[in-house]
This record gives sequence, C-alpha cells and structure tokens, in this order.
Amino acid sequence: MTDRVVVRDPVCGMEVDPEKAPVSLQWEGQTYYFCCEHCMRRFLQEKTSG
Amino acid sequence: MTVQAIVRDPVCGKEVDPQTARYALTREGRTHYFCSSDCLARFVTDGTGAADEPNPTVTSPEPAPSSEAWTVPIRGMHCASCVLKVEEALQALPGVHRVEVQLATQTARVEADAAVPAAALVEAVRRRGYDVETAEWRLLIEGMHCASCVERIERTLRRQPGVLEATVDLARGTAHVRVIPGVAHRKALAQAVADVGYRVLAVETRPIRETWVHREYRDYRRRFWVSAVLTAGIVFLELPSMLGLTTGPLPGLWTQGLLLALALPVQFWGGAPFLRGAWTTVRRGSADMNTLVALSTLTAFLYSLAVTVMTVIPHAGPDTWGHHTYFDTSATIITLILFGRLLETRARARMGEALGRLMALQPTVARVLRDGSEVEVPVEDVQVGDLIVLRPGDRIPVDGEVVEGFSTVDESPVTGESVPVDKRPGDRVVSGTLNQTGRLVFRATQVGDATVLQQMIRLVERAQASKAPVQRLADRWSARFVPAVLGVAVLTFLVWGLGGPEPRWVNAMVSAIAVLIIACPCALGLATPTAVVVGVGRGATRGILVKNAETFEKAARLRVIVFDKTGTLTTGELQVRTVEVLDPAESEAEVLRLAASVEQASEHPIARAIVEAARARGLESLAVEDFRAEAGVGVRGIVEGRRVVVGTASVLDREAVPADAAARARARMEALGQRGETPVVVIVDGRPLGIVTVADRVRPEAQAVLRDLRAMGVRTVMLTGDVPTTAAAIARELGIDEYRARVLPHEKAAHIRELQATGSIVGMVGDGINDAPALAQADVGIAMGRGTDIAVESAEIVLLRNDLRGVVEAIRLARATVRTIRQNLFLSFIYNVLAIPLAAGVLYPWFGLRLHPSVAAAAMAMSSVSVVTNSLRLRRTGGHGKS
Repeated sequence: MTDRVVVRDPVCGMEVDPEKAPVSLQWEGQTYYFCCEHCMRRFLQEKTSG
Repeated sequence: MTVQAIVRDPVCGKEVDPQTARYALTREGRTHYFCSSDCLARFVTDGTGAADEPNPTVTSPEPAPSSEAWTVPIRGMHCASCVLKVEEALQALPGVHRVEVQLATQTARVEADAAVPAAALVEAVRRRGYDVETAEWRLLIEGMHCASCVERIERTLRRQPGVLEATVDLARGTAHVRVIPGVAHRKALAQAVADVGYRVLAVETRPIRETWVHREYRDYRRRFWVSAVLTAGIVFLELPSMLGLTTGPLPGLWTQGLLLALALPVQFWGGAPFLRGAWTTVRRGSADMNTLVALSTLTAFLYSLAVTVMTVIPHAGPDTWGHHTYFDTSATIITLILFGRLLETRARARMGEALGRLMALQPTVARVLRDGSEVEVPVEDVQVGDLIVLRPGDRIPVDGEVVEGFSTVDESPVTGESVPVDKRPGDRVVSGTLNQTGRLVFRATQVGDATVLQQMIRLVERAQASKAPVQRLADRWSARFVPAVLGVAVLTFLVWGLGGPEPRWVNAMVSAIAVLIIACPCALGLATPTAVVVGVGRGATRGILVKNAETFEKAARLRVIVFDKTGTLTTGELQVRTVEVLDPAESEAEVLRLAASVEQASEHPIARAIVEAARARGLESLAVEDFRAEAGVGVRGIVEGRRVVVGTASVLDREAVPADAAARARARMEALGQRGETPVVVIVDGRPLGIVTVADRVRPEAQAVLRDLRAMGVRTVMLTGDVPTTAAAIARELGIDEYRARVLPHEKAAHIRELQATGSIVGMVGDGINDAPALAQADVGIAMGRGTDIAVESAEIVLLRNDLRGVVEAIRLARATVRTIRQNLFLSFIYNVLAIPLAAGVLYPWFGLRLHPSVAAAAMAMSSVSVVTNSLRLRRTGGHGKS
C-alpha cells in the first residue's frame, strides 16, 4: 500500500488515515475507510437498502 | 505479508480469492472476504462479526443472565407498611429474585438479573407512590471523533445496569448519565465505554445521598416552623372557647374567618407531604400512615369549614352540627407530626454517620510514580503493582505493601486501633488509614472494589440493610395494622355517634380522629432497623464488622465460645519460656548464648525464638563453623572450638552423653513438656549444659478476655492439636473452662457440631486460615482479622483489630443491640395496645377519660422519636462499659 494520502470517512466526513483506520470496507471493488464501526454500518445500510 | 491464496466467505462458506474479491471488511487489522454484498451486509447486520470475533461460525453468545445484588435508595418511605409495598412492587418485576427493603436506611436490596433495566425499577417504585433516588454522573471520554460515535456510546451506556439516561456531549467530550447509585458502577460504565473503543479519563460522581436526607430535613423544618407559628395563632384564638368563655378577643365571625385563614395553609401546605402520600396509596386501594394522618386531619378541617360556612350563612336546619370548630385539632396534629418527622429525619441522618464516615475515608486521587515522576490519577485507575507515593498527612488510597520510607500510620478509623502503627518496607498499608509522619512509597496489592475499605463499606451497607428475623414479623404485623385501625375508627365513630354524649356525632368524629392518629404503627416499623443500623455502625467504628442483623440475635444468645488455640489464644509465634541450667558451673546466659549461636544459622521457628530471646537479653551470638541441621532432631556446629548440639531428647543418645546425665536431662525435659512447653537440650562437648523451652506466645489480653467471657455467662472451650498434657497446662494457665486436645484441623467442625448437639448456641473464634468449615458450622463464626481478607465468607463477625478483646466487645454490642430492639418493640407495641382503647374512649363511660386528638398526635410523634433516640444510645456502647 503506497497510498499515504488522508481520505475522508464517507459518512461523517472526518479525515481518516487509511493506515490507521479502525474499519475499512471493500465494496464493489472500491475501498472505503471509516472512523468507526458505526459509520461503516450506516454506510452499509444506505448501500443495501438501495 | 503472506496472503493465503483462497479464503472462505464467513457467511456462505464459498471460496473467495482475496486478490479478486470485490467485497471485504477490515476491522482492527483483520480482513474478511465475501462473495457478495449480501453476505457482507448479513455479516455486519447479523452481529456475527459485531465483536472482534474473527471466526464467524462462533456467534458471541448472549451472556448468561448473571444475578447481581444492588442497593437501591428509595425516597418517601415513612412507615413499615411502605416497606412491604415497595417490596411487593419490586418483587413483581420479572428478573428480580429477592428484595429486602429497609426503612431505617431507606434502601432496597435487590437481587436480580443484570439485564433488569433500571427504568423498570424506578417505574415500579414510582407507581406505588415512592421514588428512587437518582444521581448524575459525568464521564470524561477521549477518542470521540464523529457525531455517530455519540449514539453508539449513549446506547452502550443505556444498556448498563442502573443507567436511566445517557447523553453524550461531543464538543466537550463528556457523557452525562442519570443513574441509580448502588446499581450502576463507575467501573462498569467506564469499562463498557472502553469496550466499544473509547478511553474514559474519569467518572465524576457527587455524593448525593447525604444531600437528599438533608434536603428532606430542610423541607420538613420549613413546613414545621411555618405550621407551628400558624397553629400557635389558632390555639390563641381558640383558647377562650376551650376555657369555656363565650367571648374571644374578636367577634365570632371574625374569629371564624381568621381561624380558617390560619388553618388553610397548615392543612394544605404543611400537610402536603401527607396528603400527597395518602393520595397515591388511596388510588391503589391501600392505606398507610399517610392515609391515617390525611383522613383524620381532613375530617377535622372539612367539618370545621362546614361549621364556619354555616355560621356565615343563616340556615334553618336542625342545630345538630354544633358551633365548635376543630381547626386547632387539624393544625396541631399536622404540626406535631411534622415535628416528629423532623426529628426522625435528623436522627436518620445521624444513624448513617458511621457509613458516611467510612465513605469519606476513601481518597479520590492517588499519587502514582510513573516513569520516575509523581502523577495524580483518579483512584479507580490505580492498578495492582503501581507504586504510590504518600506524603505526611495523606490518606492511603488503596491497599499495598511499603517498598520505601518510614512513617507511622493512624489506622484507627479502619481497625479501631488507637495507637499509630510504624510502617517500614515490607509492612502492609490499608486503604483509608492516615499516613502521619514520613514519606512512604508503596506497591498497590489490592485496588478498586477489592480494597479493605471498599469491602468494609459494602459489608456495612449490606449489614445495615439486612433484616433481623424479628423485624419481618413486625413488618407484617404493622401492614395488617392499618386496615384494622380503620375498622376500629369506624366502630368508635358509630358507637359514639349512636350512644355517646351530645353533640353525639361531633364527639364521635373527635374520638375517631384520636384513634386514627394514635394508631400509626410507625414506631413499630422503626424499632428494629434503627437499632440494627446504629449497632452495625457502632461496630464498624470499633473494628468489628457484623455481617447481618440476624448475627446480633444469635451472638447475644451465645452460651459457648470455642477458640482455635493457635492464632487466637496464642499469636502463633514461638517464644522462649524457660532456660534451665543442668551444669551448676554454667549460667543461663551462657546456655542461651551458645544455643543461639548455633541456631542463628537455622530457619526453624524454634531456632528463631531462641535467637530472638538471646538478642532480647543483649547476648552477642558467636560465629558458628561446620553447621549442620537434621530435620526433626536438631542442629550442631562448632562455636569457639566447642562442639555444640541443640535438639530434642533423641540427641542425648547420639552424642554419647554419660547415662546418668542423660537420664537427668531427659527427666527434666519431660517435666517441662508437661507444662505445655517444647524443650530442647543444649549439649556442649558431650555434656548436657542446659534446657531451653519454647511455647506459643500467649496473647497478652487472652486471660482477661476469658475472665470477662466467664463473667458474662459464656463457657469457653479450646481446640488444639497439642497433646493432652500440654493442652491442660495451657487451659489452666489461661483459665479456660474446657479443652479438646489432639484435634486435627478437619475435625474442628465436628467438635462444634457436638457442642451444638447439647442445644447451646455455639460461637467459634478462629483466624480464618484453616478453620473455615468450623467457623461456618458455628452459629456465630468470629474471624480474627488479618487485615487483608475481611470478607471471610464463613464468618458472621470479622474483627479487624488483631486483638482478642474484640470478641468480648462484639458480644456486648450484640447484647446491647438486641436489648435495644426489645425495648423499642416494647415501647411501640405497648403504646399502641394501650393507647388505642384509650383513644376509642373505652374508659369514658366510667372515668370520663378520653384522649384529645392533639394529645394523641403529640404522643404518636414522641413514640417514633423515643424509639429512634433509644437506638441512637447504642452509639455509646463502649468496649469497657457494662454488658
């Protein structure tokens, strides 16, 4: 992993360091980084409830 | 990083290639791969992966419903019947196993599943017209990043036992929780938050229990004073008519109006606590003392109001109503009962003092050595092994062992030991005690709930809230009492109304009011618990922990006390008793000096006793060469070129001692052995020089304690592993009534059973080391404190001070407590039994004697106060007072 750029949590908008992110998700081949479990769940909820 | 070629989808089990997987979840470095979005979503939402559980086939099981014991503070209970109602309310909740409500401490001890929500407890109590005391705690939380964390923490906190409401403030990094103190635990909350990934810096709690007792007290005080002034006005206005004068200071109409104006606030503001209480119970179709007070005062007030109205409005009806008003009656009753409550509340605040004092001993912060510097941390964060620094004047925050420094520590608040204790490296320090003179560094050995102080607080709390068997009876009795009294009041009303003197119905009303007022079973409800609370508290301040109320009843009836010799009658250490010279040419000092010189190389307890004795006499030990020890026989070595042997009688044979000298030595050793001492012979160059005997060090206070016990009518029995001759000698020396020799540790309980078979209540004093079964078998197990483990399960009484006098003191305290309970029950019972017929007017036909309602109110207020005051006398039960 060479990507050292800080990314944003897609739910709460917080800046997350991909290296240190507590939770990350690969979704349809794309990787998302979250600040916490909670944000990941909300993300998943939105994706699956369509 | 090696990547497995193929992994399995944790949900459907299909094989997935990590390189090409389109769905994956990474948590704390662990990655799961999925075949589809559905599997991923199910993985997350099913909670299969909610915990950081890498193996999804093992679902984290719901924790088995563990039973917990809580102490729930209840507000608004004033009567024994309230106790039963709150008990019923809580008992009815699903998941609640056992409930014990205490009037004196205003608490409910609830044993329930941890899953029982706090809100349900509160709701159940509130529905019955009482309330649960709640507190607000503040958690300082680190690591909250986003708004969605807030919800997560709040949800976690709300799920904790005892938490009613939780609000997280993201900006400040704090969480406010409304909790039931005694159910919620600071540590549990902090842990729960930590478990979901945040750091709790501190949990701030403010002690609120004290404040609400005081708040209640202030409230009653205000109502009382206002009512008292108004009532004084009423009595002044009513005085002329009471004295039979026709004219008062003001014309009739004015007087009536003024009376009404004065009585109105007394009735509805001063009496508001009773009216409110009565309303909630009436709505539920039951009755308690509030009902009695409300019913009686409202009757008097409303009747008087009607009379007043009819004085103003001319009416034509028959004049059976009379013209006399009873505003004075309703107002006086309320004022006097307020006065009673006022005193009762104040006394209750004072009863809790012992516990409050214990709680106040717990420091909130500790100065911990971290990386060479002193850091102040909240006491909850102190870990076992932390090094803690104490400056002079610091209270000790947790239990530990001194590693550096020298100081004296005042242990009196915890153990009752009045003399400050020296502390040097290796000594134990106990939480709650006070460092006095020097700087100490100690290593924490017990922290959090495990410290001696916290254990003590819990034990005292639980003991104070426990119910004596006699109280259960009193509670049940007084619960049936109120309906019965209502019946008596109705009967009184009817009898007076139908056959009494004119004005019949007015007299009937007054008498019925007197019955209602006099019959309040309050004193009965307070009789036992107040004595128990004060007794337990008194014990705690003297270093005597009594586990529950029932123990008092049993300890007061003790007829036999069994002592496990070692550790109780004796300290368990050996001590040199006698030094006898066999060779007239030698001196005692020389015998001891030579023996000590050889023994200094040995670790045996006898050796240590001899070395210590020599040191105590100022004898310098000499160098020993060629030292050898033989287990069970003795030691030998060369001292100043002389061959010295110290050992049991058997060494006499091995050293080729001349037969006559050996026989003489053996005879002396046997004679000394008969006295209960263990002799060793000192042989120098083949000649027996002298005999040294050692024996258990008898506690200096043992004799006096046994004498006291006998004077109290308690038979004393000693259990010992010694041979009968030794046991007899010790029993004689100490003045013990009876002894059982050659008792093996596992036989102790059988001896207790045997003594119990004679029908006596048997107590057992032990040091709690290997006598747990015996302590448990005894009716009252008394453990001599070793300071660390005060929650000895098998013992009913724990003595924190290493002093046998505590046994006598504990029995005296138990007897005093039981005596107080009896006095209280008698006071309140006799009072009700005598006063009700009097109030009903049973004596009126013959003596014209009846009880004015105001007098009844005064008497009833005084009866509660006298019971509480009588219990408070227990606080002065001293160690050396009369038993």
